[in-house]
Parts: sequence; C-alpha cells; structure tokens
Amino acid sequence: MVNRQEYKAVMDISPEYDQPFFTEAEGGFDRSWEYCKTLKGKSADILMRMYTLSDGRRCGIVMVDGMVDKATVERSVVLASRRLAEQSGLNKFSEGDDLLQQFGSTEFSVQKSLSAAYISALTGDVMLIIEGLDYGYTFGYRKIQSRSVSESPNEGSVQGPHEAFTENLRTNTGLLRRRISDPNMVIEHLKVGSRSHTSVALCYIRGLTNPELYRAVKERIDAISIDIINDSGELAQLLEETPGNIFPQTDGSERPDTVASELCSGRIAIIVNGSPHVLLLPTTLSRLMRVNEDDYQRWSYAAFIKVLRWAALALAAVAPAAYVAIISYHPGLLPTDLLLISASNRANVPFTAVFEVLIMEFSLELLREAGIRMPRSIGTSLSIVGGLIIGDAAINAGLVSPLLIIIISLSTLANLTIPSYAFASSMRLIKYMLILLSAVLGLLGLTAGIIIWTAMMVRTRSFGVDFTAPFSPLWRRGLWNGLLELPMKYRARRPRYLDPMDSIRMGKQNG
Amino acid sequence: MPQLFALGIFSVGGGLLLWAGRVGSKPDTGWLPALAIAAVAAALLTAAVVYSFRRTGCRAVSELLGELFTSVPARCILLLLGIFLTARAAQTLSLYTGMTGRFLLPKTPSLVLAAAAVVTALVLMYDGLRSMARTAELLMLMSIIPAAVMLTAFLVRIDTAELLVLAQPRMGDIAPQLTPALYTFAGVECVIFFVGHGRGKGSRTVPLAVGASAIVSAVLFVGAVGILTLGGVQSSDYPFIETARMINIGGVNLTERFDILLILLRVLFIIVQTAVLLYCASISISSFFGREIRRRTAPVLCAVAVVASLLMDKALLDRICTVGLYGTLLGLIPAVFVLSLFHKKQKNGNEKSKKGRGAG
Repeated sequence: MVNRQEYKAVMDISPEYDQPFFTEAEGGFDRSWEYCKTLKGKSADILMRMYTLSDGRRCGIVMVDGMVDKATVERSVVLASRRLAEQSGLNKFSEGDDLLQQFGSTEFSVQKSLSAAYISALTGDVMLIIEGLDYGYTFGYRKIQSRSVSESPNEGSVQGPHEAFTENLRTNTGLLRRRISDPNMVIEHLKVGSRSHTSVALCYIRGLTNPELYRAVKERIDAISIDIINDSGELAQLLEETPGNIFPQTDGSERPDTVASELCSGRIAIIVNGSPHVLLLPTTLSRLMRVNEDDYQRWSYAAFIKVLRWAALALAAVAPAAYVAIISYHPGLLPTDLLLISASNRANVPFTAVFEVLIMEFSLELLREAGIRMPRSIGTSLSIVGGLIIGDAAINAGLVSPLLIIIISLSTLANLTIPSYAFASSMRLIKYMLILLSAVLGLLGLTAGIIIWTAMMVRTRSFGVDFTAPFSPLWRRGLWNGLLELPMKYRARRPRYLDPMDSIRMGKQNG
Repeated sequence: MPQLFALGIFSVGGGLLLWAGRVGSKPDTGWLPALAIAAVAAALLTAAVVYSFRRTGCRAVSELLGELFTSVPARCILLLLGIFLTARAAQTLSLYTGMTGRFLLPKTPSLVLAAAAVVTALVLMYDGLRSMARTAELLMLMSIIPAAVMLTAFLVRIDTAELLVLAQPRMGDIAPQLTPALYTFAGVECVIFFVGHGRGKGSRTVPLAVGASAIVSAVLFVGAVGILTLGGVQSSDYPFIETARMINIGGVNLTERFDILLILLRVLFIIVQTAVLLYCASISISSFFGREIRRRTAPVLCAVAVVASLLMDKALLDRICTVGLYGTLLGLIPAVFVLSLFHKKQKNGNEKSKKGRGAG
C-alpha cells in the first residue's frame, strides 16, 4: 500500500522548478545533491555520480542513461575537471573560456538555477555541480538514437528533393539552415509543457516576417499551459483561434524545401522536438492546395495539375452528394442513355441512394482507418480482402450499384490528391454534410450546403489572415497564381495577405 | 436656405422620374425621350445627394443614419425602411418557392423550401455584412464558369431577328417585363447603405455585385426575347427558365435540363439576396429601437418573411414592394438627406449657444 502522504510529498516537489543552487550557508553541495536525489527518486535511468578533485572538492554529474555518450562524458567532463583542478585551482571554474577549451564542448552553459540545470539534464545534457560554487554547468554530449534523414512517407514527389524532417530538433534546424544561409533567419528556442519541457523552435526571417505575426505567435505559445506536448499537432490545436472550426488554421510539412520556401514568403515555422511535422503559420486555402513540386515543374504542366487539383477538391466534396440528389430527386437531369444504365444498375438494389452512399462511405472509412493501424505484415492481404468485399462482393450481392462504386472511388481518389491531410479530412466531413442535405432537398440542398461551406471558409481566419485569401478578399495577381501556376518570372512579389516587410522577392538583391 | 434648396432639387428630380415613366409608357413614344428625362432626373438627384453629404460631413449613408437615429423622424424612416426590406425579402422568397416548387422539387412543401432558404440566409448573416459580402464574392467567382456556359448557350440559340423588336420605339410593351427584371437586381436598395464609402473595400464589392447582376439579368432578358420572342416572354411566368428549357446543345449529350443549372444559379443568388435584405432590415429595425439587437431581430424577420411569402397574395406583395421601392427612392432617401441638413443646422445652433453662454 502506497503511503499517500509520502507519495504526494515526493510528487509535489517535482513541479517546483525554480530552485537556485544552495549557497554554503544553506547547505551548499550536500543540499544541492540531496535535492537532485529527491528529484531522481526511483528512476533507474537517471545516473548520478560523485567524484573528488585533487584539491578535495567534490563534483557531481547528473545525466540520463540512453541520452548521452557516456565515454565522452568520462573523458571530457570527469577527467577534464580533474585536470583543470590540478592545474588552476578554484577560480578557473568561474569563467567560461577556459572551460570551453578544457571540456571540449561547444554546447555548455552556466546555470544559476538548480532545477533548470536538472531539467536540462533530463533533455540530454550533462549537469555538473562543483562544491564551493553556487552555480553549475550543463554540457551537450547528446547521443540520442533517432531516425536518420530519409524520404517523407506522406509527401512524395517526382521532381525535387526527397529528404524529410526527423524527430530530432537539432537535425531539423540543421536541414533548414542548410537551405537558408541567411544571417537574418532566426531560430528561437522555447520550452512548452510543464512536465515534458518540450523544445520548440520558432523560425522566421527577420526583416521579412511581419512583426505583428511574430508577436501574435509568440504570445500564444507563451500562454500555453499544458503538461506535455508530444507532437506538433497538439501544439497546432492549442495555437488555433477557433479550435471548433472544421478547417485547419495551421499548415505543416515534413519537407525542408517546403518549409524554407514558406519562410521566404513571410510565414513562420514551428519545429517541435519529437515531431517530424513542422507547423507553418498562417495558412490559407491556396496554401493548403499547393505543393512545392509546383515550383519545380514547368509552369504549363504545373498549371494543368493545379486545375486538376481544384477540380478534385470539388469532386471529393460534391460527387457523392450530387449522386444522391440526382438519383433521388432529379433523374431527368441525366441524358437518356445514362439514365437507362443507372436504372438498370439500381433495379435490384434494396436501399435508397443515400443509404447506399452512406454504407459505402462508412466501409471506405473503416478500410482507410484499418490501413493506417494494421500491422504491415498483413497489410497487403487485408487490402485485397477489403477491396474484394467492398467492391466485388457488395455488387454481386446487390447491395450497391456499380455506378456508385465508381463515384465513390473517384471521390476517394480526388480526396487523396488534396496535398494537406488536415484539409482533406475537413473535406471528408463537408462531404457528409452535403450528402445529408442532398438527401433532404436534392440539388437545392446541395446548393444550400455549398453556400454554408463557403460561409464557413470565409469565417475562418488564421493569425489575422483570411483563410480564403487571395480569392476573398480578392487579390487579382494572387488569384491567378492561386488557381493556376504562373511562370516563375511573374511571381516576383510575396503574398500580399501575409503583409511581409519586404514584398519583392525577385528582381533585386534581397537581404 | 439649404434645406429648401435640397428639398426643391429632390422634388424636381422625383417629378422628372415620374414624368419619364409616363412618357415611356405611351405606346407611340420612343424610349429615347424617356431615357433622356430619366438621365436628367438621375443627375439632379445625384447632385442633391452629394450636396447633402458635403453639408453634413458624413461619408456614408449608414454613418448618416447613425448620426440621425436619435431623432424620432429618422427612426420612423428606418422602421419603414425595415418593413419595406422585409417585404422585399418576402417577395424574393415567394419567387424562389414558386420557381423551385414548380421546376425543381414539386413534391416538397413550400414551407420547407422557404425554411431552407432562410436558414441558409441566417448562417450567412451570422458573422455580419463583411462576411456576407465576401461569401457572395466567392460564390460569384465559383459561378463564373457555369454562368458563362449558361450565357454562351443562350447566345448560341438566340434568333437575332427576334431582337429587332427591342430597338423599336415601343417602350410600353417592354416596360412591364422590365419591372420583374428590376427585382432580379441583387438587393439594389441595399446599395444606399454603402453610398459614400468611397475608400472602403466593401463599397466596391456591393455595387460590383449589383452591377454584375444587372448585366447578367439584361443578357438573360435579351436572350429570352431572342429565343422565346417578345410575345412568348410576355405570356410566360418564368421566361428565363422556359428559355433555358429550350436549349439543347446537340452532340454533347451531357444533360437535357439546362434549366436546372439556371435555377440553381438563381437560387444561389436569391439566398444571398435574401440574406442581404433581411440583414439590412434587421439593422433598420434595431436602429429604430436604438439598441444593438440584430442577432435577435434577424430570426424574427426571417420568420415574418417566410410567413408573408407563403400566406400573402402575390399581387399584393408585388404592389407593396413596388410602392415601397418608389417610396424609398423618391421619398425616404430625400427625406433622410433633408433631415440631415436640419440635424447639422441644430448641431451648429447648439454649439453657438454654448459659446455664447461661455463668454457670458
């Protein structure tokens, strides 16, 4: 039986993250060490080692097993501190330069706060406390196992770079720096999460990004009060103005080239440690329908693909609803030949058009979800079974018509062409709304649904930017680039709705 | 005195408009004289409006009404305006339920059709006028291609020989058909709320939308005459839809019901028009009460418009709207501007008397 008093006392100490190093009068090294031991508790992966210098002073290091290079720590911290003490005496530990040379780490800092130093050790640093000093040090000797840079599984392309972000913050910032070697690119570090202390990097280009946007994003991040952030998706939800809105108010990408391009447009990127998905703010409808590969292709083909993508957006949302409306209320709209085919296909189907559509959509949603969750070893087999059951068997059993299978398949394929997964998910919900309205009022219901859908998009704002920009408010130059893809030389200006400090991106020497 | 001067100009302008109507309706008189008189009247009225604005220092009618709403006459005018706009919305809904009930959903009760329209209009109104205007802007962009297809189909099928009748000086035959066309203008009365917002972004959108609607209506009217002939247009309740039904582009075999495309486009803009009318009506009624109660008056006015569209006699509703339209253009608007001149005069008078007391 756990002693609740003792348990609560131990747990309550942990959130007190503002404990400075104890002075000699308060107990000095012994008290600091005891404090660290209390915080460590029963954690077996947190290593605490004490050793003695030649002048008799005690040193203590705290590190996490599995996050540091122990051999380097032994060599660079323990041995180096002993050597330094032998050579120089007490005062040498008060200045930074010699420490850098002696300890061989470019990542070190002097810590006045004991709790902050301990937390830093929990994130992969090595904490060093020296008897007689009322401050400590943290060194960066991280050796955290993480995925290597590989191709993005969710954002494929034919032309252009294939590398993607990983879960490691430093790797990701490095990938970004490699693409934008501008001294004005700022990568600001923040901590989010009272327990997780997740490192978050706020990236922007000074002199380009609108300072009001930066201020708004920073204020919202500072206002976040939560215990743990695991992924950028959680952070995105906490940053959104209207979380109840069906449309995403943040965008993201797993590709460094995309993030770099958007930073140069005037957006802000947020990298969350532990997540390969980097947030991009603000977002608009045209941004969500865009991929960076549009810039790499020749404009004629890119424009064709973009028009196809917009048509796919309409098809994804409207096709099943239009099927329900036409079959149920307006069959006369179809040409005679098609009407006869449709009638013969549906002759033995026992369900109404709307029920038929909902059965198929539900089955597809199950298949989609199972495809994500199922083990890869049985993935292929299950896909075949799913396709057979949903396609062939359902038609042979007379539950659905072949025409509906084609409509639903086209709609699903169209949904998959939407570049943003979050926006594609919103479109799936909009599709259901349109299906239900069409079931009640046919094409009139579909029209009303389209009006409501449009009104919902107009209502959405992302960090002060209208979601429907540049279509509404109308920006003529941006409209053409949003709908089609203009040749490179006609894209000399940055998006006006982002209100960047420098609106010209081509045709002059930009800083 | 500026008030008398403005009143005089408005009266002359209004009188000229009425005279233009009488001249145009005579069977043997051409339309050119009527048009010339109407142009002079419009110029005089515009001059009077500009004169009044400059005198008051306001930049928009809405601002002007906001200045005046504390005065009882102005608030009564706003109440009348609100009632008229609600009647217009009811008339629009009546047209919509008649059209959709006949051509689109014959088995659906009119109440359901009307309710669907006003619920959609309420969703549009929820976030205010700017949001409504931008939604309409976006819907217009989305409708460009289907509208262009529709108009092209119309123009392809026109028999130009039938259009010669429009050039003949027989305004009296055409005028009755033009009156319904006037009502297809997307809330032309609501433009008065934005007149004067010279630099505001919204001020461009509304006149653009109204102008675009007017152009489309004109083209549809010409197309209807060219396809159905003038006699066919005169005898038909829904000439535009009858015209669309006659269009069948051979060889494509995409659809045999072009009228449904036209109906859906009309429904789209009827719902937006209804939303604008009811929103402006709720502004007017709220101003009468002197409080910000738009969110409460809007649903009530929607219900009133639905009931009126279903229960009132169509001819009576048309008459109310015709009287209301002329009354607004020739009565309310001039009254507002004349009142504004009195208001400024009183404000100046009050300031002078305060200064006098101070010196004393």
